[in-house]
Amino acid sequence: MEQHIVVNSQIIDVLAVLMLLSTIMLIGTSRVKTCIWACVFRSFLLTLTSGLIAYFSGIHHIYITTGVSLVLKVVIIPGFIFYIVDKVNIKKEVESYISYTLSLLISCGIILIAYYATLPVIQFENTFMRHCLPVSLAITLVGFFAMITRKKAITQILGLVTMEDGLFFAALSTSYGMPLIVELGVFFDILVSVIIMGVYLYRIKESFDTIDTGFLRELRE
Amino acid sequence: MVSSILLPILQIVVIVGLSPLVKGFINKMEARIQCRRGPSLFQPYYNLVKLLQKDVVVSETASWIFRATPYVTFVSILLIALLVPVLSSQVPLNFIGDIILIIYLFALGRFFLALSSLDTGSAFGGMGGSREMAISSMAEPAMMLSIFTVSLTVGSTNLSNITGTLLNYKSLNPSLLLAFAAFVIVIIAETGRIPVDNPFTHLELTMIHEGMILEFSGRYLALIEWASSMKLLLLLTILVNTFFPWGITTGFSFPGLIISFALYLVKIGFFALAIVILESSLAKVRLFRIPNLLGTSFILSLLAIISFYVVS
Repeated sequence: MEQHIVVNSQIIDVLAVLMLLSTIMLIGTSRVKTCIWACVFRSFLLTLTSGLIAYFSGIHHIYITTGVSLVLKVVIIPGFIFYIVDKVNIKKEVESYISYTLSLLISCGIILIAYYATLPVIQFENTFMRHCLPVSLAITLVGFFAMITRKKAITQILGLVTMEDGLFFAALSTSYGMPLIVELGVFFDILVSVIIMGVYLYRIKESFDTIDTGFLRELRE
Repeated sequence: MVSSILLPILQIVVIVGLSPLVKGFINKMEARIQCRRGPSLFQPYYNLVKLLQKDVVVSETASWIFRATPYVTFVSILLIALLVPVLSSQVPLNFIGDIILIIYLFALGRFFLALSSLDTGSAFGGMGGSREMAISSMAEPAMMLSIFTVSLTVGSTNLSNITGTLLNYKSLNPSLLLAFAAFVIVIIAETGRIPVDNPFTHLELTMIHEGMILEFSGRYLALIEWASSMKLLLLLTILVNTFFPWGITTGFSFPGLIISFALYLVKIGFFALAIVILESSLAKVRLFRIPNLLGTSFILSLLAIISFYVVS
């Protein structure tokens, strides 16, 4: 590979690993606000990465998705989630169905599986984003894992946002992003689903006085 | 030839001489952040002088282990000071041992401290010793893994080779980044700084390191205190010269040594300040939460190794 491609690849690699680190932080922290900040940080890194990919590859429509994702995922969605957290007044820590250390170890195992599964694909790839696919798959799966193991609705929303970030990154790293119209549709989808989940969360809080989704299984008059 | 005799002596002088100052600097800065005036920068030296002049009181039930422990601890740390690159990346005595020996020399001192804490039969000593061992059993794998990541990147476990190679390392490596984050957590756990242990407390139920050394007095206590401050400085030195070896001299020349000494002071000062800020902004975690912290460190270093194999 040429020198500038090596340097580009290293920058993207470091950003990808930092994204993975902030996803681990989502699993690893016990405070709701820190979780949200970890998500904001990861989304910010993602937009930075996609901006850099647009610059390195010279494909212009990635700039548009970068801008939309910056506005949506770094400003609007976190702002909305913070608003909800204040509104329903969440003070308690994150609760999970499995213990802290075990969930960290499982997410590490998920990352290993993601690397192992994508190894046959990436070893023939020769672009500067060849290490991004395992990271994006890992982010998607860890987000999914966060969604199914956390009790609180708010962390489930964060898991959903994480999954979407991972999918966006996967699309970006394998085929320089989806067509613009698909990308915009996905962004709109995620925005609407986060808002719906937020409203839903508020309703759960109103009727059960908690946002623990485990209570939804109880039958009530 | 002269350098291979002078450089080890110089390293010993720097580590032994500067370590109380680093401790004093951290204490002073923490006091300043809390808007106190704080003790003098040289207070740890005064403490050591005072302790060295005092008599030793030894429990009647204590065996030879109690008397040997201060010397074993101090000498094991001194040995490490000979092996770690401090001012020059090439340590003349590096053929004696590599990073694995260093990790186990740290463990040797800790092992004897824990033994001696059990030796006197004091309840606090036993509690401190068992806690220290529990924490170190979790910190050690994380430390090993993060060091192995660096060793894999360089292709050697010898610290002189590691520093020398990383000095000319031109690329940005994500696995080194992760290993660095893991190593910082391990340093905090190993030296008993705030999220793990509070070095200023003598409250029975919270102390770990202080609980172990409760029975020591006089010159024994001085040696152990000195050894613990040297341990902090040595771990910071390993951190600085492994992950940020910029500007360290590779040979043995007078101007080169002066420059790398000045840079060394700046870098150590920077990381001491980082410790101060970390300690002032965090609360001590509950004892049963410490495995979470060290588990995070372990996961980070595991990820570092995975990403080493994937990226390279």
